[in-house]
Amino acid sequence: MEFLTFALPKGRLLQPVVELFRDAGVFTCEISEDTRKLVFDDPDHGSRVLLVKATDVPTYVQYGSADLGVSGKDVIDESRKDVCELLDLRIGRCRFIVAVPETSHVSSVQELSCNSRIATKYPWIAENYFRSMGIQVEVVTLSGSLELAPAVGLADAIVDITETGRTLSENCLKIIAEVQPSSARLIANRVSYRSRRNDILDVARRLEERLAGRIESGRGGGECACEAADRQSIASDD
Amino acid sequence: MQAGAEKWCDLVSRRKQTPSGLRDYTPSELAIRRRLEQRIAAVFERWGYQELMTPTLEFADVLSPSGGYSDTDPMYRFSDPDGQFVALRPEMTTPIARLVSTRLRSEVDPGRFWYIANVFRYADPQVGHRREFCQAGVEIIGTRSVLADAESIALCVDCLHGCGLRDFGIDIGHMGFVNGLMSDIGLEDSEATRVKAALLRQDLVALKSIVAGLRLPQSESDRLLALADLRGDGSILERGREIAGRSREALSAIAELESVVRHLECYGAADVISVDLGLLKRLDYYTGVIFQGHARGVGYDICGGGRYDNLLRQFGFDCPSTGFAIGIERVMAAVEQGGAAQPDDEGPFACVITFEDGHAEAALADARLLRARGFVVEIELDGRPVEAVCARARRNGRSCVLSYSSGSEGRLQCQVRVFSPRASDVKDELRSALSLRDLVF
Repeated sequence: MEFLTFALPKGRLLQPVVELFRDAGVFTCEISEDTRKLVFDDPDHGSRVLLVKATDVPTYVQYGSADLGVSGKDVIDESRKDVCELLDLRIGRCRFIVAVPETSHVSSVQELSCNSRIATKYPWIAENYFRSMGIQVEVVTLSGSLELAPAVGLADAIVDITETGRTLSENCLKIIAEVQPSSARLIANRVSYRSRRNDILDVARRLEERLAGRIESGRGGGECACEAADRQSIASDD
Repeated sequence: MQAGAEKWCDLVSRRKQTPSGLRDYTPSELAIRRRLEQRIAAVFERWGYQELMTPTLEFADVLSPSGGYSDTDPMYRFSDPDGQFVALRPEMTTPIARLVSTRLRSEVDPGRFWYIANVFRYADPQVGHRREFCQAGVEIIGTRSVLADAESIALCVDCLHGCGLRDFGIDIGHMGFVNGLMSDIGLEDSEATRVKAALLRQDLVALKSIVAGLRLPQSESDRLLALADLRGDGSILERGREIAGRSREALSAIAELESVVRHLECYGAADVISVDLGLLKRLDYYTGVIFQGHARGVGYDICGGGRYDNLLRQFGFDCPSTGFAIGIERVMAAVEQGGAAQPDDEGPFACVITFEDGHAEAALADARLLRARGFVVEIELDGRPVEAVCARARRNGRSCVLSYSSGSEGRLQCQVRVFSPRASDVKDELRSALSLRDLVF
């Protein structure tokens, strides 16, 4: 049988994702970032795992180099790749928020003026959000250390993802709006989802059962993996 | 920006570029594409379709019928010198609907038309989304018969087989099933639109959350969620019938699909088709049976189509129709991915003729004779040595070289060098075409 290929994100999400997939019996081979290996074959389960940069997962899946992938909703939306979203894996949960300096008089997005500059790693999501709110802001794209931008006057507000909000408050930023929640999703290539429907549905079903089991078993067993991932926002994974 | 305002170096570099999303075809690349086009065209003709052509540019209003490409879609639009808004056609169905509604009304009893044409969409150039691409397609205009839906799909399958594709599949669905189910459940338009958008994107996470947000009775939620899972062989239609409940629209969709599937079995296409009752189309003008095809190794659809009974009405001619389009570049990609059999048709024999000064008359007369017999004949223009001519001919895959020179006693000698693996066939053909010439092999 032909391998079913998975693109999994390197970084903090990897361990909980691998645990979930192993618990669900999708593959059992040893997968680790410690080696230089990027491709792992599990002939027993007919699975092949590719380790790729988190932001590249939707690309591998859209082009069909991987049949399935795991990617944060934030990455999927920002990349605007055309993939099927099959399952919310309920790990790596976080929220998209708009934040301003605590000293700012602004307490809601409506109070931001149209002259405002918004710093973000997610320009498409930010642009779309403000446009839908009818506020014409200028979006400044940065690739990290967003909290610096308002401090030095580069931006009036930031759009970022956060899990607990702690990093924000440590940097003297306050949340003024929530844009959308995010979590890791199981995604599939459009054509694979049709041509290998049964194999893919089988994977989704195993994962779904495993996730349901985790909820039922309360805080025991597999739940720990979810919690661990939740503590590590997928935001800061690059 | 005025040209003068650009930097000189920018201008120089721009002169060697093409705009994003557009491409050139070198002869060898184009040969692959043309071979596919010719095979598809031959299939269209065998099924009794007539070719037609429409202009590349149309008035923007023509190209934006309701349910078709709209103002928010990525069409190339501009104003022509008369101040009219025109656009590059983003697909062929709407221009053909315009043409048929105006000049071909009397010929649609029904009319079967085919085209192979370039279309333009201003999309982000990415996987399989070029800004100019070629579509080969047909429209069957003037019949509501379910036989036409089956013919359209069977013809599409025949074309893909004709291109040598082996590993492909066609999914068949029906707009009436999804729409009927939603109105039976009593969804408002805005709710139905959101559910359909999630289904179209195959975003099951969003679908679940939207359906949960509708606060429907559990049984109704289950019917909606089933849309994402009603795919399989013809037997899935039985389950569809249960889920359709009392919706007449959904039930008649099931009945039509049953009929289409039965006919496709008769056409010998059963092994490549699946039924997907949750299938939807991006364009809203589709009304009945719809389908799309995928090929192994290509991560996006290679063809698609369906019934559009209301489109021509917008051009003042109420006439039911169905059709499909195949993405030529996408089929090329599938062929390159190894999903295709090797091309089986061998081209005609090709020869190169080179001659010494004074023998032009004989050489060029023979070239005419050979071309008349179906040979490809290329004349050596620069009088290079025979060895160089032969080397070039071999490189270009020519079958033979004929060199005309003065032999002993100044007599004309025609020396033939044959490279083709079918050497004896080439020699026989040459002897018969140039029976009066003394050929030296």
